[in-house]
Amino acid sequence: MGREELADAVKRIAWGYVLLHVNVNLGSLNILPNWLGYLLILGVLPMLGEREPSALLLRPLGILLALWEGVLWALTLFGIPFDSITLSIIAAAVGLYFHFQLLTNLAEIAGWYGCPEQRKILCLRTVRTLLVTGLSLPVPWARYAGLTLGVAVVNLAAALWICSLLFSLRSSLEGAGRLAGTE
Amino acid sequence: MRSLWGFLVQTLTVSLVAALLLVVKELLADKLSPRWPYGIWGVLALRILMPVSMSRHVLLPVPLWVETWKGAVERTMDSAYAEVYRATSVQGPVPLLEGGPRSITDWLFVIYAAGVAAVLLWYAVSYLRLKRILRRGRPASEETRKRIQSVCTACSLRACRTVAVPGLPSAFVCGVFHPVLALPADTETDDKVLLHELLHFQHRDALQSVFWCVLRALHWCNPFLQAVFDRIGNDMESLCDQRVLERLEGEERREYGGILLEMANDRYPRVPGTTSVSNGGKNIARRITAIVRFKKYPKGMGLVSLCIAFVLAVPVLAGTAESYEGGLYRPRDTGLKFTQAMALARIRRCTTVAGALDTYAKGLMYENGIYIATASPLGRHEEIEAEIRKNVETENWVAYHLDAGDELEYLSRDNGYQVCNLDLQDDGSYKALIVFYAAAFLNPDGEGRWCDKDGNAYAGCVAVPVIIRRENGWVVEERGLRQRFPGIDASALLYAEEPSAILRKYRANGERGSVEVCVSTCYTVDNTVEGGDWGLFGSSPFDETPKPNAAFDHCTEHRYTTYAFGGSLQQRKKLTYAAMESSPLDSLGDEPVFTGKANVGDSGWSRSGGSSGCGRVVTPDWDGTLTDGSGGTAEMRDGLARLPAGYAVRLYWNGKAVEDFILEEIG
Repeated sequence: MGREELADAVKRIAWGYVLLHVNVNLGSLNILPNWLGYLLILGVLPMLGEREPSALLLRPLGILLALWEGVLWALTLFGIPFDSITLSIIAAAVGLYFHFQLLTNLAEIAGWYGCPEQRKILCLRTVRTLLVTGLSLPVPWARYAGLTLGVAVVNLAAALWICSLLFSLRSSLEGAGRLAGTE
Repeated sequence: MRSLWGFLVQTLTVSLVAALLLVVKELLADKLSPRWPYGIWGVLALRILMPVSMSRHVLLPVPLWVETWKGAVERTMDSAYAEVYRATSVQGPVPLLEGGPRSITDWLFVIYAAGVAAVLLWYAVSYLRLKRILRRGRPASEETRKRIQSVCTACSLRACRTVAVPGLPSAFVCGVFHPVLALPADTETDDKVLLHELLHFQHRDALQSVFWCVLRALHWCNPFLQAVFDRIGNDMESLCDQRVLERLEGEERREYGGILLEMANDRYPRVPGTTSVSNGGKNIARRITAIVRFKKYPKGMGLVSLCIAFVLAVPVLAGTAESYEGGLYRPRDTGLKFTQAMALARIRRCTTVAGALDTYAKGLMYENGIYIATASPLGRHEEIEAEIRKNVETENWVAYHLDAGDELEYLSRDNGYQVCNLDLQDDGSYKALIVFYAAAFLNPDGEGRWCDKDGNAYAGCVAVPVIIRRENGWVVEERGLRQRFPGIDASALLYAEEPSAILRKYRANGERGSVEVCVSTCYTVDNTVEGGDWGLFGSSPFDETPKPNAAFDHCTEHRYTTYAFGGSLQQRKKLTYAAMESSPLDSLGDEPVFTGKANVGDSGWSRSGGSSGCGRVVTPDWDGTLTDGSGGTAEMRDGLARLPAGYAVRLYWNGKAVEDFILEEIG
């Protein structure tokens, strides 16, 4: 698999993260659903797997997360209240591993092609894992306006960081690919 | 655990946690190092050792289910260990018997406790028998000792005492305080097996085995947990395999797998305080699968492993408080739903003073016996339940209706309620008045609305005197007579000079008369409904759901100051304008702060800092008194309004300050 294909895969993963982090609601309809983000990522896992076989292990987990997000999206759309602590815990644990491993694989690929984003992706992976774990603490985030705002700002910053870093990785891969083609 | 019901809550909750961990372990089986699948059982161990809270459920509302079954079953029994109207509690993970058994459930609990003792005894006997067998062994040969030393040196491990015992099927480590490596005397043990056992010794796995066996004994009658403990044992062996493989290279790893396969049909010791490389065919198959997947995991995996463990541990250890919304509090008939509602009232108690008052007040407002039971002492539950059942049978009410009494017949529910004069008592309890708005009153003769002579129905308020005391949280009890105040709005009651609505009185006498200040306080819980609106059909913005964990969000202080003229007749004749100004004092020695200006005309005023005043033109028909009512937001400390130690009042006659009064509390 060439760099161009990899760059295309990273672009799709970046768009997947955009969908996961940005929600635009028209009433109860989220037009940027998270399940679509997972489907985008799932679609390129075989491509990543050619370079990083451990990425293929993420496929069943990605399907589960897409299903979970799809169910939540549909229930919200139809206004059906749903609250399952057990499933939420399982989804949180699976999600933590999924994103950790995916970002690890992307960092490995960046390192393989000598892209400067490798260390930043590893750093982002660690920060994201700690952030998500911290937010799972039983703190009433929504009760205090300051906390809610703080969490929203941190989440937004993390989302922007992930997306910009992945788009930057795509550019690096594309740039390196063009350079290799010229030579 | 003091009853069968406590054990059921504990074992079912632990089973749920074990099931959750098994699901997550299956999902992440081939992705995380074997250290994680074994380490995560630490969460289960903590869950077993920590008593389950009845008010916070883990994953599913098991405490409520069990309390409901208890309510249904114990009703027909005379148990020594459980009572219908005493909430089940789990104080520890071990069974404790108090007195002799009287009912079937008591006997079942006795059988369970005896089972725990029997299993522990069986483990102890097995361990001692094994120790006796090992005593028959002879020290390992010089050659074996050299091989062990060589393995230890190669892998930086410590050696332990080794014995060769005839007839042993495989090697194992036995003992917690003085571990012994037991080897079969008849066959030569492979170096890789020695490494496996030395790693068990290194990581004190025999001690862990004892720990898991004790936990296994506590849940001996739960087959699911028995299977889980088997799995834990296997995970411990898998982890040891991983450690072995990390120290082996290439072909040696394949050979190690081969050795395990050969042991699939061997017998193995299953005794606390022992670890063995061989643990049964089915378990070995699982370990072989793990060995096939073997890889060295990157460093970063430790972080995500810990984070996943944390994400799983927090909710299963802390539990979740159940929402108080929904239909659980409004059963329609006296079937199982009613039993469940009363069970709910027993286990989900009010955690704050404000929460108890809010729940009790809403119980009276909406005549909901379940709310009232939630905020009442458990000693009242039997009476409340009997009253509700009687209402259902005789008047066909829904099975939560509890008549609030004649005084509260025509409450204006949309306006909510107020808590007045909350006061801390010497014994740590509180006194207060719950004041309700009344749209009308029941006629004293018990028929129709109470009207004045013109036929207009009285509106006003009703004050219910209560005490709030600790009992597994906070409970409310009515003390004294409910008082009706026709024509006085609830918000005006505190200015109405009504003796029962006064919290503190301050008084001072001087040359020119006497001054008295009466202070009352009013507390509110935020009961506004987000987005609530006054609907066409009686819907209201007042939140009807009780808030057993509420805190007061607002407190106001109301002050009523009265000056009574006490001067001479001559002074009275010269007096054309009288005024006073009052100011609160944090302590009686403080210098009072007055504005120094008495307004002219019949008026009152109040200023920031709590000072207020009033004045009036003295006419011949003046009754000799000045009265000033004021109020404002009170500063709260430790959940109570902070009241001043005293008041200073300055008296003005004809625009000049003539006397200062320092008022001290009189009751």
